[in-house]
Amino acid sequence: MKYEEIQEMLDRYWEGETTLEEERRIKTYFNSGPIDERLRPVSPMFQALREEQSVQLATKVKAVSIRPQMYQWAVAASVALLLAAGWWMFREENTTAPIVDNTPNELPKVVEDQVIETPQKSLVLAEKSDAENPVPRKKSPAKREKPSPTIDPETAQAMAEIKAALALVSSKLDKGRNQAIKGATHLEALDRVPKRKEG
Amino acid sequence: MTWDLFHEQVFPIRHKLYRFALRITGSVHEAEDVVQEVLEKVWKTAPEQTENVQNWEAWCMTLTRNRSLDKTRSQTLRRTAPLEGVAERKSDTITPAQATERNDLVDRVKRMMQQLPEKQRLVMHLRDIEELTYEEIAEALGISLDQVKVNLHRARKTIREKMIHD
Repeated sequence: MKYEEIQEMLDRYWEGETTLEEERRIKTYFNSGPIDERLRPVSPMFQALREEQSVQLATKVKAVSIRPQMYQWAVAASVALLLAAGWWMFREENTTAPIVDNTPNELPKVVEDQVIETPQKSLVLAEKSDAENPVPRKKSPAKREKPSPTIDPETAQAMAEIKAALALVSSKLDKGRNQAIKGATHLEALDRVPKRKEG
Repeated sequence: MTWDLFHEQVFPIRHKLYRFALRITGSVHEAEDVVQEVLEKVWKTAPEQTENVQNWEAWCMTLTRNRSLDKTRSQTLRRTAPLEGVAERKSDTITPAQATERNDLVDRVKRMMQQLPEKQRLVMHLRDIEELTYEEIAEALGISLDQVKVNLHRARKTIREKMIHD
């Protein structure tokens, strides 16, 4: 570049009237190739600017916590689980209470059945080898019937909800973990990028 | 803040944020802390907030400036700190004597810049080192266009006069 051309741009530079493009040309002139003797006094200025432009963050950015997003989901899922569990327990209490009020006569039977059932169960287990086979065989259909009434539609629904909540938690954890791995790989790759690239 | 947004818009400007923080605090250590804090803060920004951000760079620069000023002002004893670790890069095509002389002059300019009043120093940094437009500088510093131009003019004038007279 000719001396006159640079000098003219410099005059405008000091007045703050140059464009970014002109300012880049000035910096390039003073940082590459021979400098006109008449311009040497101001040369350190543009060398300083160019050097300052290449200053880089020397330390690695500490792994920026990847938790926040996972964290939100974990909290949401926990709350969902607690609510579902709470709702289920509440339902349990409610279903037993009406039975006591409306059908007081049937209740003792149920209680008796249960009370009787338990020792028989243990008896069955204890006396498996015994010859009293007909007794447990008769009892076993009764046992199969027992669990089915306990899984009423509401409980089933609650269980389904808990299942769904757990599935959500696990899918989000998986997603979060994949993101974290992806993130870590990116961070490492970025640090290996040649330094001047972003200058 | 999504990973893609962070990766594309924020992470690549970390060196720029670091230079800006270094210009304000004058301390490598503090500037590194500022960048770390700013990146974490941006990363943890709620999605609702990220929708309102038009220019991530300007926003990050503003965060960096505020955080750096907080740090600087909490250390009232320190006024204009010398810029640490900025004269490390040396060209290997010049003789040691030339290098010494050249580096002396170049380092003096750097010190002159660091001794400018805060606003002039930051405007000159954003224009002459980061090559931002006047509009971008005004946004990052929260000042008017006129103030950008006035401060830039004063800063360049001061350096020029010092270079010629010293």
